[in-house]
Amino acid sequence: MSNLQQARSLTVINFKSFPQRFVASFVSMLSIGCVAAVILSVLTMTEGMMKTLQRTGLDNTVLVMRAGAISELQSVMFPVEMNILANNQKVIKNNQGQAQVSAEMFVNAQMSYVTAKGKFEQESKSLALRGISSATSLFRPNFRLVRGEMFATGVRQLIIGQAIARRKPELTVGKYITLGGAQWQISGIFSDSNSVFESELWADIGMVQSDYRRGNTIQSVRLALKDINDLPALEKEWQEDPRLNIRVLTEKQFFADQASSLTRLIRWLGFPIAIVMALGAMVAALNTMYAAIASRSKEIATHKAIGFSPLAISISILCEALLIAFIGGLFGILPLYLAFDGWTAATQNASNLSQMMFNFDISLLLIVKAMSLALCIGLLGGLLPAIKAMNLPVTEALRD
Amino acid sequence: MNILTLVWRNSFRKKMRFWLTCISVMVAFFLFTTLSGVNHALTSNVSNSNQYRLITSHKVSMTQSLPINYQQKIAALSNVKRVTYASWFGGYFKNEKNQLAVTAVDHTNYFDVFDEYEIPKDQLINWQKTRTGIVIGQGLAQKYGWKIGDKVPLSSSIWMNKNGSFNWSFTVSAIYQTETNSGDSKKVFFQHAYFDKGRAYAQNSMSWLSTEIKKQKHVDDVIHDIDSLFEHANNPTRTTTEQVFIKEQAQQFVDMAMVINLVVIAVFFTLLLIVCNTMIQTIRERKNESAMMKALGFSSTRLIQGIYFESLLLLGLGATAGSVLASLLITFVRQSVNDFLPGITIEPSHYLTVFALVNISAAFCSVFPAFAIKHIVISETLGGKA
Repeated sequence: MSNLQQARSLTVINFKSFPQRFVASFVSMLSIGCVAAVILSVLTMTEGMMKTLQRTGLDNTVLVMRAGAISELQSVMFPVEMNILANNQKVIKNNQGQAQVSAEMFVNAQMSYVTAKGKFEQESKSLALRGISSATSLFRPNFRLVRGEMFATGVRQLIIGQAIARRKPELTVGKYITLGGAQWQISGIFSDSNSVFESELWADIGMVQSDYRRGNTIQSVRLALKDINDLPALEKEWQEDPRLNIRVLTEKQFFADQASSLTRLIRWLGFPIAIVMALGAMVAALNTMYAAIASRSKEIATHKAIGFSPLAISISILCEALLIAFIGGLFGILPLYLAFDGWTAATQNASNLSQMMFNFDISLLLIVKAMSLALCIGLLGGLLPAIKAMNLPVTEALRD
Repeated sequence: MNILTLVWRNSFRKKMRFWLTCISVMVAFFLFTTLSGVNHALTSNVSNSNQYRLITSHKVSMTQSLPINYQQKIAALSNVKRVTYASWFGGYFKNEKNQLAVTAVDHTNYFDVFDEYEIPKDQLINWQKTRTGIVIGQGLAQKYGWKIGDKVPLSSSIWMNKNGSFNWSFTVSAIYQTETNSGDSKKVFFQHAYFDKGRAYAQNSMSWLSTEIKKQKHVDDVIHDIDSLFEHANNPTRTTTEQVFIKEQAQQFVDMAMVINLVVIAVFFTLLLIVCNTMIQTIRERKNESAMMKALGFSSTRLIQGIYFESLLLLGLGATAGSVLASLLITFVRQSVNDFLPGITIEPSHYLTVFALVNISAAFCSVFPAFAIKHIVISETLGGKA
């Protein structure tokens, strides 16, 4: 028999007697399960947030804010500045010569509403309220109204993002919500390919300006460039313009920055925790496997005596370690998957003081990653015991 | 033979198992100690907040302004000791990479209400007399090398001054200290009067009010009084305790702290199982030996004591190593994570918790072996062997 065939039959024997050792192996399964669960949640959360902030829009969209602003919330701009920006040759114009420019207001609002049971509910965390103009939709190719219709201008109507609607099923078309002192009617619910905008409320910019007493100031301007490669030249031109005091960047870059600061805490804490826990789990696996071969030293020695090669024996030990790791991995992954997959989670985006919803989607790739880590732990934990089994002196073991 | 000698010899009979289990314990306590430090950093803002202070902001959102005269109206309420106000400036130094927490504050009483900022008396008076003066934190003074008397230009992305510029000039007039490790040492405060005169729009308004109340038991009453005072005004308010407010702002941190606690519990549970498992294995292997010792006249109590001390040695060694490593790590990385996770520190009481946990775990791990020892029937155990 070749080594491989021997290893296979030994592994079958091992797996058959494995149920006897299940309880003893339980501890290392549990610790491996913990690691798999932690790493899977860290990966899923970071990926959920990243994806939400990355699906934003067109590549040629440039965002302009006041110099020094790191979020739209912090920025104040004036209409005259917007006109200077819009008149630039590098900005796309339509047939009538109007530039493709969107002036936007970004404020946040604490929402309250009447629940299905007739209770008055006040949200303690703010939502983002964006005042938009008719040009805004040109920048959002994936924008769709899934229910209801667009808000009418001049009245307090707004459309809400799908992510909000999912978290608050009470909020349906026609309902009223209170933002501060004023009542706003929900005229529609929109989707935007699961982007961050689905966590926002959109209303007419004029209405938001007057409700928030901002006069005619705006907060950010979005521009469509004919060629995004012109951006550095354009930025230089505007920096030198004494009438402007602005910060220019691509919308993609803006959201990428937010994504990295939003996920920083999870990444910086989650990965080190997972690594240290993985070390602990590896030690547990090592312990379990040493105990397993110690309790079976006679059996292993017999296998050797009747002619199984040491290599085949060590491979079968490794297989058992991998089995433990696999079951452990399932212990961690399955409950998480069954309980939380597809959940709409919310987090506080500190840079603009408002809530952001994201999908806790546990993808196959992430499961594979978590499981690979579990198997790695098993492999490393099984390696030394496998070598020990390989070198087990037959005579001594049988005499004991 | 002394019982401790017995414990010592027994522990090291299976060296590999002893050390592997010990390393598991070490990892668990390393995590526990490090995470307790992190937890402190995540929640210190919340737990350090003053119980006597309320914060009142516009009902719609923090970014909306309130009229300055709200200060007098609130001050007139009963059970209110002092009221002060502040405005968010949204400042940065040179470019957006150097964001600063700059607030304009009522220079007459802000630091009476917020007495956690320690400012030397003469510096405070100096600042109150300097119109363009700023009070900066010790950490900030160190970071940029700013000294008292330095002229410092700061810019805002929100507030234009009457010259049509977003750049404001300031003079460093005082440097405040905070309790070490509080992480609150990088703020900037300046006179609201200068702000209000200087800005091009929104005069006579501010962002939020802080109210100091006389007695803790009046919290709910005062909150209710303030909010009903402005309920039908153009600018309705929302008042909460400082603690609730900070908790809402730092939600991500609070959530993270909760997750960390869950992880710690899971790790401990697994650890208990690991050590328990080891002790059960140990006693199973020594069944004959225990019977023999009983036959020689050792009481069950003494054998159980021995097992307890063995667990204690195992756990104690691992816990000490883990905690020491974690403390070293924290001392080592404190500086480098200061910008992002300030206030990372281990409180002395944590070590007491570790001590208690070690003892309790050792007792817990001895329970099953204790039953096993108790139930050994000498004749059966030794007889079965023959």
